[in-house]
Amino acid sequence: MKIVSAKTTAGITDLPTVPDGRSLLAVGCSYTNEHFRSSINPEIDCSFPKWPTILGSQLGFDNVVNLGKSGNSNDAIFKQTQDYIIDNNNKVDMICVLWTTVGRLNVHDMSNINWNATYNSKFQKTAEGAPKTTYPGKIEPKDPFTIKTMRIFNLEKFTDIVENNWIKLIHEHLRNIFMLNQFSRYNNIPIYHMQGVPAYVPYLSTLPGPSGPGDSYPDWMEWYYPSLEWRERKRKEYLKALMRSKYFNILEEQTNIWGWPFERELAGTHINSEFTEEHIISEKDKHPNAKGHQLIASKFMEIINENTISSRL
Amino acid sequence: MKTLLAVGCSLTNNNFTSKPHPEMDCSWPKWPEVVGKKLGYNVVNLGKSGNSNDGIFKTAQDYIVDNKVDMICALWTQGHRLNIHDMSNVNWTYSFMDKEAVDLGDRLQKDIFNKDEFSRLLRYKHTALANEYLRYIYMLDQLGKYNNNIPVYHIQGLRGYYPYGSSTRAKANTMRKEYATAFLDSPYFSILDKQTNIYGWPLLQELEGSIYIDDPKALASYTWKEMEALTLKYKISDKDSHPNARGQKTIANRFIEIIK
Repeated sequence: MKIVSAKTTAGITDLPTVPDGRSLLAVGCSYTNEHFRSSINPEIDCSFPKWPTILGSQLGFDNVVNLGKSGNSNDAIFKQTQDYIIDNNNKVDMICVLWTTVGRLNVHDMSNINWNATYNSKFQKTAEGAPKTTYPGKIEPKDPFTIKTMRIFNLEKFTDIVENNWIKLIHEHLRNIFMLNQFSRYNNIPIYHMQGVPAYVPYLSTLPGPSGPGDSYPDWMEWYYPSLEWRERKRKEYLKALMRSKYFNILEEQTNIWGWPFERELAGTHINSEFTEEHIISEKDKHPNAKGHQLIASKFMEIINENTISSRL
Repeated sequence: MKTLLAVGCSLTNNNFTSKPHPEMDCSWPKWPEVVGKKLGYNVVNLGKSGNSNDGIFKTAQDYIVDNKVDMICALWTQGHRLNIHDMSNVNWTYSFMDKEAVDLGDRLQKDIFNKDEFSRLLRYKHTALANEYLRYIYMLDQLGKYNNNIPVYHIQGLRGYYPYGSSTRAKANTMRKEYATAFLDSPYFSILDKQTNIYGWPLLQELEGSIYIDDPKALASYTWKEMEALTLKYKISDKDSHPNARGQKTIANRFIEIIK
């Protein structure tokens, strides 16, 4: 089986070509990246097989094309898939997508901005425990990652936009899933979806009670603890917006989305919540390790089998 | 009666008002209305001032999911507008303007980018804009196909590209050439190149394409400034380049030309 993957520095159109034979196309973020290295634990060897390779081998594909890129946004995941298939004359036999968090913005295919990281530097808790909804004064980024990812934006102006409109993120996310599904259906390519990193923006959702190891906050966010009441209210708003999106009912009828509708309150799940400590790189780096990738592959296998069996009945 | 869905930016907005000329009555018929009347269609006009190409596509996608449409006409806008998660469309040309922006909306658009860092990104990666632009046209076409083959027609309203981020005229020329090359290299170019539903294809002046306001025959023989003067008759004024009543009729005529 041949494995071809996106270069870590590849632009959206700078993609590998499909070799001859049956091909599995895998797309996603760092959870999918064939060349993933742990920035937190650089001493750990991360050259273990990633889920696309495991899955491709189990399904007997001749090739695995892995377009996973660290820091990828959902918008870019959709567009890379489409670009790749168009550029390679539909020579793909199956698509597996591991979607990422909604807090990443694709800036014209030039850069994917992980703006979620800005919240570690923007908010300060009030006496009640809720984050201030207005900018409290001077922004003091606590980590170099924020400075790096947000350097093209004025942090304050940008966060003003997302802070007041964040509820729209979920509709956008469902639209991306719908569009990729529609694209693959039109091109007669079977497609399977899974949510990797939780979709819901962590600054609103997971502090301080993580639903799994991957949901826990990094050390530099320890000072930030919104009140339980505030978190529950925001979470409800998010879930309502999810169910009200016009794409929800369409996706709800599909059987090719593992863990649908992704959120535990709606009896859904994402792969992060399936991880235990044995599935992640380390306590500090919650990316999947070798076992974690095996777990992801097995869950994809589960849904592929379910759909294959039901189509034969 | 059949329904025409019209999408675009301020050039399509049915409720357009002129910022430089707030006293002016701009209630003349916009191109969707003119096209609809001539072809006998009900018109749904989703044109929105400040819309980005991403916003234009997604507006159509969201509408079509639960509404029946018989024809789509898109008047595409500048590639210099960024859709921030459907929350705001930021026109980053303002970031490169020295003059003071006139209203709050423009102020935000001027200030949201760190101009130096963003210029650097553009200088190295601006060619990505070409593929992105063509991809939207392709995607809207596909959207029509996915939905019982709804016919889709395209025109470029505002010029799609300007080499923002260039520090010198020579660099600007290089960026233009790089952009045109990326345009030709895009996997979507060869697909769209075979189509007949795009007015002025291949849209770029450098490739002898045109936008609604250009006379393709005149393009070759006039300078940019001469063209600007010639096209003033289609615009509100020399301060507001949005189409006046005549300009809107011209857009409508261009659409009817390719529809027929």
